[in-house]
Amino acid sequence: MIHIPITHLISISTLMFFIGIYGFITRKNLFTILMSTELVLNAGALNFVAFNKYFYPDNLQGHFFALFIISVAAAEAALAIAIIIAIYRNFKNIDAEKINEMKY
Amino acid sequence: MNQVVFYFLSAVILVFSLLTVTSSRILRAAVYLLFVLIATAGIYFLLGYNFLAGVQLTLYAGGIIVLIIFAIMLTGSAGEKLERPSLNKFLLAILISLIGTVTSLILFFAYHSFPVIGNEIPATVKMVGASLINPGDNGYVLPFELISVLLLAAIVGAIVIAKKATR
Amino acid sequence: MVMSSENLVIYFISGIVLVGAGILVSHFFAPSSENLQKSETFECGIPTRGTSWFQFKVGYYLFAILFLIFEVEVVFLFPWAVVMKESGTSAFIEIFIFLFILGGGLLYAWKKNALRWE
Repeated sequence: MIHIPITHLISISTLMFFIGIYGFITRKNLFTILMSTELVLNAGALNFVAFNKYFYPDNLQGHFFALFIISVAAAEAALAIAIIIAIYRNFKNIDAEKINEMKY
Repeated sequence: MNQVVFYFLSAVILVFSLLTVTSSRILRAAVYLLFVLIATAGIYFLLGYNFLAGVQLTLYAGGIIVLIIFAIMLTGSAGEKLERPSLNKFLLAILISLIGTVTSLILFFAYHSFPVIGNEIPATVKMVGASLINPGDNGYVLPFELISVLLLAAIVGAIVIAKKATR
Repeated sequence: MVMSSENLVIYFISGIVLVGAGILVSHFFAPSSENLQKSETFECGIPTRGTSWFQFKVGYYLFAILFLIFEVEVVFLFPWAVVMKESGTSAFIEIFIFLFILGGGLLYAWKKNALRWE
């Protein structure tokens, strides 16, 4: 076991999570919102891995949870980018606040 | 040595995640996010989860970030400057993030002495593979198959959205 | 197995040093001449217009998305391949179901002409 207290790992992932939340609220461009979501997902995965390593080292549950989080993030990024590009083609911009028109 | 590397990686994660959400150039924000993800892979290496770190590097750093940068290039928004958030929104976001951070950290520092269960097992690729196809206890064959359904849904969804936008 | 971080540090530093040394050496030894014509995108032909933040044709992104999704598939094939010999038939059936479902996705993409370069 490496000699790093788990509280430090959890502090890092908590700070990364809430920096992601901050970006999610303040950003307007759809791509930067997507990047903030990736930060949040990454913080979640890091948290799972830390708990797995320090409290339940006899199995790999957190490890697999992080693995599936990464795959879900890949699928999510693929769909989000497909949607963003479809929006860009229809509206010619990707600003979340200027896209306020629905199909009618 | 491990401590030095860990705190270096933590500093990289914190600085570059802050830059990701505050940078006014969209392409730079994407590259800063890349550094955050690589530093996270470094922490996985330190914890001994080598396969997970490799997946983080190939899928996150090599796949998702490249896709995001590619899409930024496609929409021609790479050179644009992002506008600053309005003061109200800025204060609201700071408030929410601070409340969340302080609450979680207080809760965690108050209750961080959980019991440690069992002996450590190594997370080699062999171990990961054996668990991945094991239908019994500590096996993950059902999530493994479900991931393929999720990916199928993502393929179909992406194609439908893309084809609809062309017409 | 905890990877010793000395290796990581050595790897990191040697990566930086190798790349940095290459750039430095070429910076000191290469002859340099700067002029306006040289910094243009094309050195001959009509003068270039606009910035070099060139917008690519939208529509190529579908290939990038399909690439990402099949990359996830390959990442999951890797640990399976390591234990294939020991696990025998059950592992084979499981991976067959996995590949069958994703093969359906590939077939769909093919059928919808998403793989055609136009």
